Amino acid sequence: MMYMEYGFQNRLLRVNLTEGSTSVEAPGEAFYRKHIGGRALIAHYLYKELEPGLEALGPKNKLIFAGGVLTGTPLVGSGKNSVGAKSPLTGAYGDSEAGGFFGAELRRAGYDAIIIEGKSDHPVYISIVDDQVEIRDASHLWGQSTGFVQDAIRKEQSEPYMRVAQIGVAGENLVKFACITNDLKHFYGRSGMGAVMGSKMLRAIAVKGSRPPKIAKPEVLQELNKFMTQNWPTMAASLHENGTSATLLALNAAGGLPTRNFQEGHFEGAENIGAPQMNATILKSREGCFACPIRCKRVVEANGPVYVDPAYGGPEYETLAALGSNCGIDDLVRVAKGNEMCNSLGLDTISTGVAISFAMECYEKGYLSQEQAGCELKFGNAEAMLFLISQIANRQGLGQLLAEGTRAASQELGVKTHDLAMEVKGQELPMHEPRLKAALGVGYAVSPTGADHCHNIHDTIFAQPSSSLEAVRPLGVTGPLPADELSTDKARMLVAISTWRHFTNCTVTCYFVPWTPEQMQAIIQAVTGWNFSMLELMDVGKRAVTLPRLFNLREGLTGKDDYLKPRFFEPFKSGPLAGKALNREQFGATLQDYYGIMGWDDQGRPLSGTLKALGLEWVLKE
Amino acid sequence: MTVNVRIFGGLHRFTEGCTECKKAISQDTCAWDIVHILGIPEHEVWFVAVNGVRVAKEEILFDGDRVDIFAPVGGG
Repeated sequence: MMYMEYGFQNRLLRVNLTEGSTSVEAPGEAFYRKHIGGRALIAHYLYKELEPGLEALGPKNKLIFAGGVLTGTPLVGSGKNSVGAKSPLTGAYGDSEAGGFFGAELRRAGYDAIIIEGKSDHPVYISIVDDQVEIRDASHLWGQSTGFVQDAIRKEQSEPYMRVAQIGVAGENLVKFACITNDLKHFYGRSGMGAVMGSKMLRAIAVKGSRPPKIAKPEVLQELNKFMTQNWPTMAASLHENGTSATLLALNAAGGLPTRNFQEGHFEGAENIGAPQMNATILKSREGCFACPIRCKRVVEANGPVYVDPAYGGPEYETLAALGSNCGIDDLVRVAKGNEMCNSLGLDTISTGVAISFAMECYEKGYLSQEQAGCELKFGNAEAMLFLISQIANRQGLGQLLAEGTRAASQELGVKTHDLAMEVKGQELPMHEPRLKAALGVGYAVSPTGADHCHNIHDTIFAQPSSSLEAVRPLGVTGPLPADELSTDKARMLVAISTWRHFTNCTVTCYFVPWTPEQMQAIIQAVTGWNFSMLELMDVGKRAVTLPRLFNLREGLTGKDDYLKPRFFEPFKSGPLAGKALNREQFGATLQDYYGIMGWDDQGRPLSGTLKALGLEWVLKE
Repeated sequence: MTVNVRIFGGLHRFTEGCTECKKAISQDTCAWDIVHILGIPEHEVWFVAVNGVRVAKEEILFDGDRVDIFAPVGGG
């Protein structure tokens, strides 16, 4: 075993639920330097260990929780961690990141990652207190709300601050976009990881740790933290004040707020669900994640017309748009109720909102009857939205169909509905409009996890001189470039920004804390003691894109799966972007530019030289 | 004439913390004149919206307009 003093625990916990066994292994420094943690670590193990074509909800799939080199260190923004597996929603590589406290606690318990294998024959949860790892019966927790389960586990373990990651009823019922939550308010939302956890009969993982990773140069890290602690009130003030909901009114005024299933980009009721309204009415408090002073998370409470429980936090921008404008709903309290229901039942709010908006459009266009819907499923009907959330989580009525994901539902409802399903590779679109942010549309298409806004570019940030643009210039970004431009220059920008974002999914750090790439390089040097370079940084990011790409190609996906739905090539009929559409030729050319700059062929297959440059030539031998 | 101004995206760091105010304006005042009146550096502003819709810099303001000033935003 290679000795590693700093940054990593060099301990990876394996739990086999079929055998009821646990073991610990040491990946070693050479592995960590190339992969850092998070996505690159997960993708490495999934590629190496999963049999091609296996059933995502079968016992052979593996579920991996992974922190990164910075998770659980005192660094501002180090509270995130990742979970990955083959996705039941896309049939491709899947992962998702969440903030909160679970990831930090896992690393403090002495583990960089947990690989969960097999399937239990009864409901269980895993308890981890440093070296003490137990698989415990969870029969009494199955079918309960996430709030009940967290309380019960903490009481059972006599540990009021034990950190609990868990699925809800939706995960138990194998809803294809079920999420995993930690501390009730933080969500690994995307890719259906909750369904994979449910398929293993694993309700929760509870962890308590007492041995944080060691830091090579704590005084350097302290100085960097001091910079962020002093400067976040200037750099990220709006995130504290308004949370991510600050985005909603800006995107609406710009014409890019997804509205009525992406048919429009401007919502007449936006004021009623925007940040000022939330702040003035239901906002109860602001909370945050491990080691973060920004506290961008909302906690909301309402006592009428419906009760909204503050135990489940409050809606992010994505949720306000997915359950709000995209369903034509401007009733903030009921949107917050929908958020609370998704959170307690364990549903991804983005996919849930898009599945419902898809069903609403199908209903209004006559492809779905009132009898099939079980309610009057018109855009704007908030009660119908709440009804369907419950139906989906419990797989009842129309919920049984929608629980399979929007792509599968459209395949069942017939060819006329295919173009109404707002998805890429089966994953529902997040709340960002490609007709406003053009390269983001290309990013949706090429993302290994299906449509994603986190490891993507947001063109609007780089459309004018700004500190955000200056920060990424060392990555080779030029510009500014217009948000609606598609070009070779834009493809270069997309590659640089998305690779950087993939890298931060390896460290695993929060995008909302504005660390620059140069600061991040210094941070990794301080934590690990390595002479870590910017070249290595970007290579880690490239591995985190390339390994999932290779996984997907092995599963049978091709360049044809890098698509965007026809709607985005059709002009908006109204709103600030009336007449605006993506140009198909420019889109195709930019996609090809992306492939080429990544070192892939014209079908999106990484070239052997690309693999060798990244130290992934072992893939060629498999 | 007065307009109702809201300042978003952390731009209130240039307005002594003020996020909402009324501004008296003269005839022919343009949308971006408000940015200058408030002392917000132009390059920090993504766009100005009037009554909830993005407008050109030279858009003329009218009495009672709601003027929103936004910084660039990305993900959420």
